[in-house]
Amino acid sequence: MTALLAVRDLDVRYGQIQALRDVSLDVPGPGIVAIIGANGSGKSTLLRAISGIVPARAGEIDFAGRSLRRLPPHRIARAGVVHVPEGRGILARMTVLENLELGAFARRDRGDLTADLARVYAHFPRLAERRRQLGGSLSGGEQQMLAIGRALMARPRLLMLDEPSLGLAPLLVREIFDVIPRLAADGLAVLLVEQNARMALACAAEGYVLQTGRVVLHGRAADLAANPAVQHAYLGAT
Amino acid sequence: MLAQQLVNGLQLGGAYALVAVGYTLIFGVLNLLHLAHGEVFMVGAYVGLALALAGAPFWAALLGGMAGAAVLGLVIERVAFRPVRDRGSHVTPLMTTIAVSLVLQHAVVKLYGAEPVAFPQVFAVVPVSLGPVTVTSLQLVILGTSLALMALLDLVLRRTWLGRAIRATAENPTVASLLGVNVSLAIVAVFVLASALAGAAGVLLAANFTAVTPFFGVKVGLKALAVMLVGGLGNVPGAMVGGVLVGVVEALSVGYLASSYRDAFAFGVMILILLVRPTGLFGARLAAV
Ligand SMILES: Nc1ncnc2c1ncn2[C@@H]1O[C@H](COP(=O)(O)OP(=O)(O)O)[C@@H](O)[C@H]1O
Ligand SMILES: [Mg+2]
Repeated sequence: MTALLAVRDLDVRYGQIQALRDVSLDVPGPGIVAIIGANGSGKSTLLRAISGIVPARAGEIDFAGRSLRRLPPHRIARAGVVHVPEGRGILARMTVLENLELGAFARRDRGDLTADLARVYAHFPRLAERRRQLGGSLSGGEQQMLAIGRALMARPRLLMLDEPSLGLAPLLVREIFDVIPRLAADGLAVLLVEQNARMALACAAEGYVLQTGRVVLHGRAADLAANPAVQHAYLGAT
Repeated sequence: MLAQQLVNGLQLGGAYALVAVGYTLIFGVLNLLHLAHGEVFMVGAYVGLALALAGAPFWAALLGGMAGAAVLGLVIERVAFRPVRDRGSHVTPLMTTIAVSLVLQHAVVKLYGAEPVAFPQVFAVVPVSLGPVTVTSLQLVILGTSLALMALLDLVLRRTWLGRAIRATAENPTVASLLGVNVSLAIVAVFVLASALAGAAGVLLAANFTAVTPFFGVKVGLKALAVMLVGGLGNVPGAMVGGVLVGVVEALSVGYLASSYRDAFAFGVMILILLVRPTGLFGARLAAV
């Protein structure tokens, strides 16, 4: 059985800086795959290369049996790979509802969005209350909910989340991390990038550890969480 | 007298607003100035003129002017913006669009000469009294058309998928592309919309001033550029209100002061506004776009 997303030997550079080197990774199908690693290890770059906003110098990115490499970002999004970028990418001058509606832009059938909106509001009731407000007026946690909700409006097959817990209060982190496994249980494949390795490994099935642009460890999330080296470097154990 | 000048100002201002909205739309998605936009307006006027001289009714001249300007906008995006968009500095497109504006002025000089060409009277201009004010049927058509086109633009930007794509691109092109928006196509659409509106303004003002020259676009283009700043960079409703405001100031100065200083007053007021509020009356990109 081939994986839904298969990344092979990916190389990415920013000018002289080599951000990813020979990175290979699989997202087999529905469920959560976590990528952990220190700041600057290349986690965001990996998601950017998959979604096409930075070019890959070498390697292959296959999704559902077709190559994404060299496709422009809008075609990748339309293929069902939706990337919630670091910093959330909320359109601050548009309302919450307009942001959500734009989430459906990547879809072929964007006729009736009522059911999709209801599903998003069920996950994040706060968005329903705030739907007439401008995106820029939301708190950080609400913006993260909006970013995930907007991604769901595209009915993605693969959802890529870049540090959804970044800068959020613990209560909100828990709220977000309640929803992500539910999405996976509903059949969504999730590629989750986190510096909060404990939360990420707790809900993921598999994990990859990135270090200075390379995959240094890969395995079942539970095994990684039990690995002393991982505990020492990323889980704050002494 | 005051009401009369207000009507004149609204009509002039509506046309300025149509041009200014185009500048602001283009600036909104590209953060670049399109210095040949005044010439797009001028070419629209000449296309309308050519059709009117050939006996076309006014609405056909108007639509023709819009279509001609839209095609020109498409070409300008292709030759003067796209090749230099992601490379070079912000100055490069200033140079390429200045070059385009000179080429267009001289091309029209070649075709029609540098002298003013009279715009034929396309329909019977009859006075209409509205209470204390007497307006001509032409003034009503000009005012009504500008308002209708701006309402249409507002509708497109707010209610259609194209409009949403344009607004998303204006706010953050990378995020727009992650949402499935073809950013290059959205930019092309902006040039088509902006240019069609400028073309409409060209035909309307040509009919108003009853003559056009190849340099017709220079002053109006400059004024609309200032209107964009007054309304707030990239702010579409701001450009609409700013255009109308400048038109009214200009008409009032013609009515009460001296007609030969009309541009000085128009620019003087805009400079004053910018001194007090450097980001424009309504701030950069406040509401839509
Ligand atoms: N736009 C950029 N230009 C140049 N270097 C960059 C850029 N973005 C990231 N980098 C560099 O690439 C490396 C990986 O960064 P990133 O993917 O953001 O890591 P992470 O998301 O794991 O913190 C870092 O060394 C970073 O400094
Ligand atoms: Mg990052």
